[in-house]
Amino acid sequence: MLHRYNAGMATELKLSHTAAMILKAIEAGHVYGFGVMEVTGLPSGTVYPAMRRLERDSLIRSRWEKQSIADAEQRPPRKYYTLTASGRTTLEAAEKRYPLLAKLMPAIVGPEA
Amino acid sequence: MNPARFHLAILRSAALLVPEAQRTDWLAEWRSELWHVRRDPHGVNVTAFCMGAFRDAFWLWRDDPSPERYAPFVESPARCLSWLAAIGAFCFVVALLLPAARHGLLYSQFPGNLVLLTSPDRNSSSISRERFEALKAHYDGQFTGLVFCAPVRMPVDTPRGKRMLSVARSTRELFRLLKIRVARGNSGTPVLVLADNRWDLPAGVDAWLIEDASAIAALPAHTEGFALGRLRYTSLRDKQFHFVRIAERSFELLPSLAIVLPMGMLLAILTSDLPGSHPLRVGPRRGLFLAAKILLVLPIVLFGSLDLASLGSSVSPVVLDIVFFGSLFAARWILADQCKRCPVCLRLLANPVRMGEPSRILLEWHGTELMCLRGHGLLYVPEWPAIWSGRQRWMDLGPSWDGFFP
Repeated sequence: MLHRYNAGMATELKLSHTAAMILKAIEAGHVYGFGVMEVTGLPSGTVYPAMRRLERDSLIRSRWEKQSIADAEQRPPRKYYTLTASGRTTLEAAEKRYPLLAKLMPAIVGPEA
Repeated sequence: MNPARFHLAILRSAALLVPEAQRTDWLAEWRSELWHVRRDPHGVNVTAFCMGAFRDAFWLWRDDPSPERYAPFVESPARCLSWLAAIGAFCFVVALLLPAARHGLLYSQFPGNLVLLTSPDRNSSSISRERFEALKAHYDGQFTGLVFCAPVRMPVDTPRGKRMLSVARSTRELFRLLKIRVARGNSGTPVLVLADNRWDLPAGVDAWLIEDASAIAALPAHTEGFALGRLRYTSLRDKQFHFVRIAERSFELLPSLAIVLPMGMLLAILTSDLPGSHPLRVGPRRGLFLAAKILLVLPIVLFGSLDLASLGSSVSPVVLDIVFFGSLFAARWILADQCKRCPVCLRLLANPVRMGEPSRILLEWHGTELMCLRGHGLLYVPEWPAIWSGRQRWMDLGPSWDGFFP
């Protein structure tokens, strides 16, 4: 018998407070690693591995910015992160567990978003 | 070093930990982020930012389920043992080629038979040259070498000016006795050899003056000196002279290693979290394979450590630390390797597949599944220990699976 994995069974997700903060920061429009670091105050050694883990679990996805946009602004292209549908569901559940999360992480308005 | 180059060097070093398939993308992301960090108006500590790359890279390295890179060398048990034997032989040959390591290995063949001969009727350990000649005639055949050395104080020109040194006058025979090679001077020219304090000889000599036997024989009969000899047999009793064994300060390597090596391995085994029933399921073949690995790894640790510690002119006492940590590492490798092998055919398990999602752990299993390519079974290694799946478990595949495997 091969191992059975039923994704439907596990709808109640268990995110740590750090992972929830990072998820919330991305949802708020801080869509790249350094931006998440700045808004959460977490060091790079925490933020980047956490984002890898979230991406592995399909809660966020990444995409490279188009080279032409970066060239126009004379900078290297950046890797942006966005929430997946599963990530949004997870974040909603996390916000119920951590009610202060939304107040800690105001949404940003501007070019980063 | 230019800060920009320094930061890039940190990122490139960390990138070595990242699995090859992800390395280019990973480095590009960090370089891009670094570009923005450098221009951040809030004055971020750029070096601290770059150091975080190591944690990120390490996480990716740990998370990588790809097969072991050394697998082709150790996949089958015979090939694994052959490689270990070859590495052990290589380390042994290197140990024989390095003079300090060779001395460290061979030292135990002649321990403690270097003696100082003293007269029982005198408080001093010195004797006159005349008496030395008498004892030499008396003990003919009892020693493999017997020499006289006479310490004198004499002025010697040194780079810091003329200094009074305690110099022991003797013949080249003395160094043959001590088994030390000394460069040859011109025939008949005295050679001054600086003492390196490896032998705890009386009178605290600063240097040795090697002269012809005729020069020593020409010393006045009442000249006081020391008689040194190497006993042909393990003991010799006589009323005329006492034999004081000289403590050779040479590092007693093999006895020390014989204690440290098993200690390190035992500590590694005791502190290892042996993961589950599979590695402990010891059949005769698995037990033999485990024993063979231990026997072949021991000389690798021993000679490898000796090689590393013998790169200088003598075996460094650091060898004990190297052996200790080497044996810890080796024991952990032996256990980890044993855990990754099929208990039936002893081949390394392959095709690792990640199962489940770690964020969804409530009563759900997640981890890595490995397979025996000969179809003997599957190994489940949990990613996080939990009360329902704390350790890895092995599942035998029945004969109905035979059709899936060559």
